[in-house]
Amino acid sequence: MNCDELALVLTDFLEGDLSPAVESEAIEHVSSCRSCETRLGGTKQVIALSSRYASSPLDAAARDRLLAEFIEELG
Amino acid sequence: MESPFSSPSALFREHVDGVYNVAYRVLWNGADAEDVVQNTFLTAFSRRDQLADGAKIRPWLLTIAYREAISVLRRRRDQPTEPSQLPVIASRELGPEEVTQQQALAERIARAFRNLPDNLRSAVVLRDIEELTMIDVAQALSIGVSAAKMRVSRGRELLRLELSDELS
Repeated sequence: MNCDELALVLTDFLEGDLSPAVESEAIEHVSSCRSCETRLGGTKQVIALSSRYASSPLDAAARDRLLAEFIEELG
Repeated sequence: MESPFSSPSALFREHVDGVYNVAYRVLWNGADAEDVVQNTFLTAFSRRDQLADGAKIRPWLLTIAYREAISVLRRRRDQPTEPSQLPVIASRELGPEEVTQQQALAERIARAFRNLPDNLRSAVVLRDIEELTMIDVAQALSIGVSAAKMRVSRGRELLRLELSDELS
């Protein structure tokens, strides 16, 4: 597997959707390629940062107000 | 299995954050996102007979929310009118300097998300923030699973490049 091929299967690799044979090829390539190791590690960090920082929860007052409006609309 | 619609309040409380988050990340406007929240839950109740599997309530609600938000976006193709709401999620007590650093990081991440094209941002929000399966992302976006994977992949790559200074 080369870098371009790794890029094509990166999402499937992270999803665990690769066949065992292709997954082994991907792991072997990443272990010997600094650039792809950086790309894989960076992508994992992006996923972790997105999950941790990119949500925008409602505050409690807004949640209560919306719930009251919703129940009123439902009748 | 008890219907998820048997308690409207419980259903709302359990899913409102996810619904709001999807709406907000499409619209970048709190008032519009709140409108989408209301419409999503009202639509869900009016169409509750269409939900065949109660266990799939979350992806079903987020799909409704996404489509509601997109319809609002198409009607009001205006610029966002308020800054993002940026939570700092602390796993332990933070000092003032750490809070400032985390707030700055959260702002950079929010900016990176905001700079993504709409179609890529929606896919990443649904997969990496709301943690839907790729199949559910595909259904929400009305595209195939391969196309959903492609959008998530491209979105993550753009985020990785834009946030490269933050990554070790």
